[in-house]
Order: sequence, then C-alpha cells, then structure tokens
Amino acid sequence: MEMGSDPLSATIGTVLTRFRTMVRSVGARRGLLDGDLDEVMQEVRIRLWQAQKSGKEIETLGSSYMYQTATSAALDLLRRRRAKGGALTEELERGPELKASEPGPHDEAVASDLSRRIDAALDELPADRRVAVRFHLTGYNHTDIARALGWTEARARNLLYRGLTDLRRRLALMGVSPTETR
Amino acid sequence: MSQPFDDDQLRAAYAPGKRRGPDCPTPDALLAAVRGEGVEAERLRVLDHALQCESCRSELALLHAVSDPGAAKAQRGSVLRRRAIPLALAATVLLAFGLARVFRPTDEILSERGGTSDVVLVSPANGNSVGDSVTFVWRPVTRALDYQLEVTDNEGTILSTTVTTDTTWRPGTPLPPGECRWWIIAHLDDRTERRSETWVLKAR
Repeated sequence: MEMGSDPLSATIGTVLTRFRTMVRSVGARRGLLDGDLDEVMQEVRIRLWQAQKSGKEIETLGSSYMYQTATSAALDLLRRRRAKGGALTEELERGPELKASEPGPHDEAVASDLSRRIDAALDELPADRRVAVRFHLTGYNHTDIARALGWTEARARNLLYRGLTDLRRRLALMGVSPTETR
Repeated sequence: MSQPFDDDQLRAAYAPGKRRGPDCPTPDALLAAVRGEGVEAERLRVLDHALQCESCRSELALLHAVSDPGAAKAQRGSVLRRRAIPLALAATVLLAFGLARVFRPTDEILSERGGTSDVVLVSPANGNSVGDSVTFVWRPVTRALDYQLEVTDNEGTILSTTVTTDTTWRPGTPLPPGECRWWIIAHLDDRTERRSETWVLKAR
C-alpha cells in the first residue's frame, strides 16, 4: 500500500501537522532549522506508516510515542549527517527575516568583534553560570536550563541572574557598551 | 557611566562562531545532555561547547524540540516536591526563631539579583535602617498578576517571602537584626516575569 490521499494518509498528515507545530513552537527562537525539522517529520511519517502496518491505530498514539519516534528519527538523521561529513541544512528562508537591511563590511566587523568580546567575557565566568547564560542568550528559558542541567528552576534562575550580572560587569570593565557598538 | 547591555542587546550580539570540529559531542551525547542525563560536569562541558558551535547549536535545538518534555517535567516535579517541603519548613523555623544561620544556603536560594529592573522599589529606601515594623512598598507593574517578595540575609538565606497581588507587604514577624537584601519579582499575564533591583536594608 502506498502513501497517498487516502484516509490513513490524511490521518497521518493531521497528526504530523499538529506535532510539527508543537515542536516548532518550542524550537523557534533557539536555532531550530525548518529544514532539519522537515527531514525529521518525513522520517516520522514513514515510521507512522510502518507502525500502522504492524497494527497500531494512528489516532490512538499518544504524544510520548510521537516524541520518542521523533527523537529517534532526529538522532538517526544527525548520525547519518555526521557520517557523511556533517553538512548542515542551509536555512534559506530565515536570512531575509533576520536582517532589515544588508549589513556592510564595517557592520559585520563590529558585530563580529562584539561577539568575540562577549565570548571572552563569558569564558571568565564559572562553568555553571556560563552555560546558563549561553542558554539564555540562545533563547532557552529557565525551565529548559533546569531540565538540561538537572537543576531546580530556582537554581537555574539564580545562576542565570548571577551570570548575567557578572557578564555585564565584565563587559563594562572591558569598556564594551551598547552605545559604543551602534 | 555608560548604560549596561540589556538582555535583547546581548542576545542580538551573541553569535556563536565555532565550526564543526573534532571536539564536537556525538548526537547521543547531545541528547543525553538535553535530557539532563549523566554527570553534571560532563553535561556542562557538552552544552558549553554546543551553545558556542554553530553546527552543534542547531542539532541541540532539534533534539531539544523533539525530545519529550513531559518526562523531564515529571521527574523535575518530584525533585521540586522533595525539596519544597524541607525548604518551607526551614523558612518557618527561621521566621519563628529568627535563626538566620541555621542551615547552610544552597545555590537555589542564594540570590543576588539585579540587572534589568522593570519593577521599581519604593520603601524602605536602599541602605535604610528599620525597626521591628517594616512595610515594603513598590510601584505597580502593568499586566502583573502578582508579586513575589523575597528578603534574604547576606548569605542568601531566605528570611521572609510572600506572594501578593498588592504593592505593599508587612512581614508577620520582625526581621532578625542585621543587614538583609530584598527584591520583587512581578509575574506577568504572559507568564514572563520582571524583577527589581536588589536593595539593602538594616534591621535593628
């Protein structure tokens, strides 16, 4: 039986669309590439199809089954990619959204220098604060930080606030300020 | 003195620049770190790298988004429950007997908050001395559902805390003598929070 516009395909499509929206909303501001997600969803589609053939009712599959399947598909995708040389998915759609106008060489040099100085300041922080701040700057929240580091949310919040305070203090000592970088 | 970076400016300026290299963690190591599995030092190492490496960062985002948040939440919930009860008991003991140094503070309750301050503190003024009776006052914040006030000693031990919808609060028991710090966290209707600066007060 092939995948087509039959009721089963429609059901799988609905389940996947719902799941994709959920996953995308989590990863949107954290560097998740739509291309990567699409590849994983395609793999999940195939696995759902195979699961149906083995007697599973697609509608009754819970979200934990979906997460488990997607995680396994994502791992396989990343392993395959690394084996081939680690090429990343190019994010063609995202570029124009992020930049109101094309930066010139001077803007790029300033941005790159600022980024290097932030990194240098971050490198001086204790590891736990540093990682909490890196998470925060990448768009993750207290809950994510707590989950990944096995901390309570209170601990994640406190280390993050301390890390940010340290970072600002170090940047000020280095003479780096927002006005200077404009 | 120049204005410090706010969160948005830092985020905009932070651009991970490392490229794929031999020190990149395996996808399995990334997943374990995302799920909070393994030894903390190893997770910190893996995540510290992944968050600075352009290649690993997008892989981390993918694994984070597709791994089951429910399982971790349930696990964390039980950890929080286990910790919340002793903490509440400890806070009660401290409030009742004013023993500011009964237990050693942990990182979870040590607090030194500052930075961006959308919540404006009013009274007692920063550095002021107060007697037995003190009333904390702060300005209302737009869209705030409630406010959490915390008072700690200099080592971060919580001496007094409350959640209120009002913009004033008077502790039921006097603060123990000595220097303390206090601040407010406003919980907004969009589930974000705004925090005040930390102010110092001296209880007599």
